[in-house]
Amino acid sequence: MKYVIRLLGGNFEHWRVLHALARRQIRAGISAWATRGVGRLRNKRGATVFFYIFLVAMGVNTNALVSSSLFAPIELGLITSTWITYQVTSLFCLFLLTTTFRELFVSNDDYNNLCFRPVDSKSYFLSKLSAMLLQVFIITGIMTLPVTMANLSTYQFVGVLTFVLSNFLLQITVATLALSLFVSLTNHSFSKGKTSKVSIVSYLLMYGMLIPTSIWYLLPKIRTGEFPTQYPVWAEMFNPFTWYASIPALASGSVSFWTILGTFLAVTTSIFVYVYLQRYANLELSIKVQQNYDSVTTSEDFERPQRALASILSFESSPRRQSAPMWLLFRAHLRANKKFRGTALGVLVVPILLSVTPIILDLIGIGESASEAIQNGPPQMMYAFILMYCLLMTNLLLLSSEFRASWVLFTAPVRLKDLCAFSDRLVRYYLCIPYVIILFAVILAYGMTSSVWDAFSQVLLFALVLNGVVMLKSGIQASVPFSQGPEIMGKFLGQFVVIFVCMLLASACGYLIPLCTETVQVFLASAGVLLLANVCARLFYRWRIARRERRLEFVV
Amino acid sequence: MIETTTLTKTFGNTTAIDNLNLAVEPGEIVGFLGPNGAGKSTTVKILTGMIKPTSGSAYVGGYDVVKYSLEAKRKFGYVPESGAIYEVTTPTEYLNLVATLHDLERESAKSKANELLRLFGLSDQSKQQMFDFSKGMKQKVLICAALLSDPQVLLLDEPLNGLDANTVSVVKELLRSLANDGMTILFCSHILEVVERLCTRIVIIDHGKIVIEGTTGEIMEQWQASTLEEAFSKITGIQDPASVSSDIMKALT
Repeated sequence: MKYVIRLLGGNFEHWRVLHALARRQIRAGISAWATRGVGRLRNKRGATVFFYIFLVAMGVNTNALVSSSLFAPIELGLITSTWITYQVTSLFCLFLLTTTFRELFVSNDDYNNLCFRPVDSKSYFLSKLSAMLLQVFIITGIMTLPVTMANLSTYQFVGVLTFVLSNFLLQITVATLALSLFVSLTNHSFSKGKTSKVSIVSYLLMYGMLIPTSIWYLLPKIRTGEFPTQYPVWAEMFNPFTWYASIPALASGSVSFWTILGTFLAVTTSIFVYVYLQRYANLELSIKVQQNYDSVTTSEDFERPQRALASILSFESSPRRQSAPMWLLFRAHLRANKKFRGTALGVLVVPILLSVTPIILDLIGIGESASEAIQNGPPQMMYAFILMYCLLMTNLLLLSSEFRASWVLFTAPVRLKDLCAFSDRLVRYYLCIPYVIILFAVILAYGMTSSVWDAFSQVLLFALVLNGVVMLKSGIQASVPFSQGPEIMGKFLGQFVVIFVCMLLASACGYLIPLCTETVQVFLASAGVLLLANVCARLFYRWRIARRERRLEFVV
Repeated sequence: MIETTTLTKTFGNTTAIDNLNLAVEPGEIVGFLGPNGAGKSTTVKILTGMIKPTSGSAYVGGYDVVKYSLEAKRKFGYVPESGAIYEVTTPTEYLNLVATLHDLERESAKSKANELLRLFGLSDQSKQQMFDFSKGMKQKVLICAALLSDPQVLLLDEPLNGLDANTVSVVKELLRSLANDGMTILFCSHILEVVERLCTRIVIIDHGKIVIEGTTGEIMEQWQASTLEEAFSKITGIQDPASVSSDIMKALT
């Protein structure tokens, strides 16, 4: 667990304390719930035992209800009973989370914790998520045990394992979504108004989604005895309860386990990435907490969370004292250094190359085949131009013929890692994004894809690849801009490796991207995997920068 | 204001600084002397955060330069021994660079920078790139940059290199005034006459260790020398400069 927390950017010691606190909150919730059920119990263990006995009873009862003679005229069958049980279990989990365990996301304990301790927000989120997932797994395991046992006789071990894994995957997705939604609503502060808002929204969501789900999935079965084969795509995407209907599809063999895995992994990843990096990294606290928080963050031991998702995919503002000096040096080098200017002006060459590549391919005599080839997407050459130039720029920004003067950057009261991030930001924001937009325009102009959506999806996938590669390169070569001697450009092997990797990646993109955009499921799965790869690249980049900062010394 | 405790820095098998204990109080100008390779510049580089100590601790303005490096860096101004400067910039741009790195208020920093450049006689060259500047002119810009952020501590490593006599006089007077106002100044130099006249206390190190510290008078008295230069020669191992000089002459012929 320690390594997982560290990998995700959290602090294990913070996580350990907060996780213990979250577990205590869950136990308190169980005690309160048991008190409401059977009156005050003398010890807390009694409440826990009562809670689990109740869960077992609920599981048996649900299974009996859906598979018994109550629905006899309709003849639900084992699979229908299974997914209904899974759905009811999920509903029950959400109900418990929003009522019994609501202190997980709205608690005075948390308020005090954030107020008096420099708890980092990522560890906070991870502690909540891990405690909640543990509880959801326990509830799901107990409640779905009877139906799992019933399935064993019909579908054997492997089939049942597939159902169980799919169900747990769905539960992770729904629980992550629920936690993120409720925490974003409450913003960590415990107050009557906000709690009631949470309750209203949660009930609306739960019942509001359950009813249409039943109409779409259960009614056709009741009327015709068959499950519908086509569902509205938006319903599949935005209604968590419809996801449980993938179990019958899985059983009938119309959908493979890997498709479900890919799709839900993509959805879970997207939610996780959004919440973990955007919401939590940009934790908004009440004014009182903010004041304490500010006093804590003046210490260098504590780092103010930055907009991490923004730093991965979109624009990120940085304080004047970190970006302005770097821009000033950039402009000065551009004005005074011919080599620097020559390379930097290559920025204009790439769009020209992108624009004329299809024409050149026609002119050099492979017109027919080239024209046919580019109907599926842009040629690999276009990807290669962008990749190579962006990586070249990450190199260029580290160099200066006056690198000995970079002592001024090392002795300034600025975090070196913020300075290091300049070249990464400049390349990703001011090169990658315009290039991707130009690529999109060129694809549309030459009609390289069948539709605008297809062009968009192809460019999006390439943008994710480009973003990840640039981050990876910046991480590997983490250094303060304009502080390296020109000799690093002289390392031929390094340059060769970069060119080789660019060509390889461009070829892979040219071949794989059109395949990845053939169906919505494959596109979602690909985008999810690439997003995950981007997050990993970002974590690697941060780890490298932090490690480099600890060791960075001005040695000339 | 400046304090080091058992500060040690090693480069491979070489010990550049060996358990150095140094303290400089506000209002003091401490001359930090030593022969080449004694460890002066290494000490200053550790104090500025450019390199990290192998062991021991160093404080500037009350902050540990490793644990609270940002706070420590806000407290000092620094003039490096190398005199290296981004020559692609103009003096105005360079001072703007330093101002933004120190997060100084834009307008006041700009007017202060212009005023400093004017006082150091660089107004006419303020918009020129520094490729053609003499060493002294670049040194003036570096001194302006060190003073720009109103530091509490000045770390000066050979600050008078390349300066003309008039500017040297101005800088010396300036340093005295700043010390009288409570600034802490660590002054590394090989020009012993300047150190003798300017510094309130002198610390001499050799092979990374402090060999003696005190006022000029105390050191001369202790080593029975008539000048600081003579005392320095005795302390750092060259007993008779005249005989060494004649040996070199013999080797040349």
